[in-house]
Amino acid sequence: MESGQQTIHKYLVQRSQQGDRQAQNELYKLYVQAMFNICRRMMGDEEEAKDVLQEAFVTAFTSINKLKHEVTFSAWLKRIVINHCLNALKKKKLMTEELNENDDFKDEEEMDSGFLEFEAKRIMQAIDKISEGCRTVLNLYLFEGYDHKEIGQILGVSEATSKAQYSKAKSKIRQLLEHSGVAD
Amino acid sequence: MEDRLKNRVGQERADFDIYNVDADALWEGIAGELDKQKRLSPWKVYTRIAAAVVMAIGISWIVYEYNSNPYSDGFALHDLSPELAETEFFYSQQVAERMQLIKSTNSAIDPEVLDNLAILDSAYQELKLDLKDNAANEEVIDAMITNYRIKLQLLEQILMEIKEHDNELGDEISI
Repeated sequence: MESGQQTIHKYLVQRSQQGDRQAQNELYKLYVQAMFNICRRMMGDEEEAKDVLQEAFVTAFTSINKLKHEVTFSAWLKRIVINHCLNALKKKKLMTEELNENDDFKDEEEMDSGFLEFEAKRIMQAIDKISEGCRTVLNLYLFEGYDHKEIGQILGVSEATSKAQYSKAKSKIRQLLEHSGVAD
Repeated sequence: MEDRLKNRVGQERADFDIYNVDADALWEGIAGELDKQKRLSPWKVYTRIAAAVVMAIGISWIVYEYNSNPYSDGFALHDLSPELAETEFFYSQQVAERMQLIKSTNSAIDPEVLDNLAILDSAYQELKLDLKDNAANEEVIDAMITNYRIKLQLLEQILMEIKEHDNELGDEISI
């Protein structure tokens, strides 16, 4: 971030901490689309994603006083958003049940070409269609930058389970993409 | 083993952010929630009031401590005159009544508020000691009565808050 932008950013965070609704709105506008993408990927459903995102922003702005170093706002906000997604998914129980099933999935790494022949949009559509457990692992690993050890801790499973679920997710995505026809 | 999908997402990150949300519509919901939360959280307010009251009492008590030599026993107001006995009786009745009411609602009272009430009580005990030392000292008597009044006010506010809260809950349930 440029220093000018950084100053504005810092100022917005400080004003938001004082309860300035206008500043909160400015800050919100800076992050809403990126945060919505996280929610939408995690939840796999537009309406659920909106609900979770709203809750997450309300939590963020009501507890913004706890944020000590203004510069880390984006990382702090992202963590709140991801936590809200995970809580919502845990409530549905599908994810936890699936992750606790112990299926031995065999890694098919030779198939991984990075899905280069497919557009990002089509990959995202395929991600929507896979089951919640492996989708969550895939999202955390692929998009949110967690490693398998961290994902294991977050979801309460072993590192090996996280790895297996990730491979399973990739394999399912590949199947879905190949099934839905020739690459664009 | 190379993870080509991970590499690709890393390199073409923006391409994968394909979703868009109506930011203005969502903000309306967020701002509405924030306004609602601003109105609530009464215990915070009362904890602050109570803390300020306790501090004021504490300071006045310290001032008295400097001006007196404490004795082992204290004097109560009713030891001084029949009029003061009546005043003491009146206030202690009022306080007891409200305490009973609050307890009967079974509301979860912030433990900090209860702590502050206890501090008011111990401040009163100290004043009783001062009263023995400075028999019939007007200032001490005033401080004791003020102590009662503050306590009454505090209890009154707690009761009002419980009532309002109940009404709000009632509204929500009846819908």
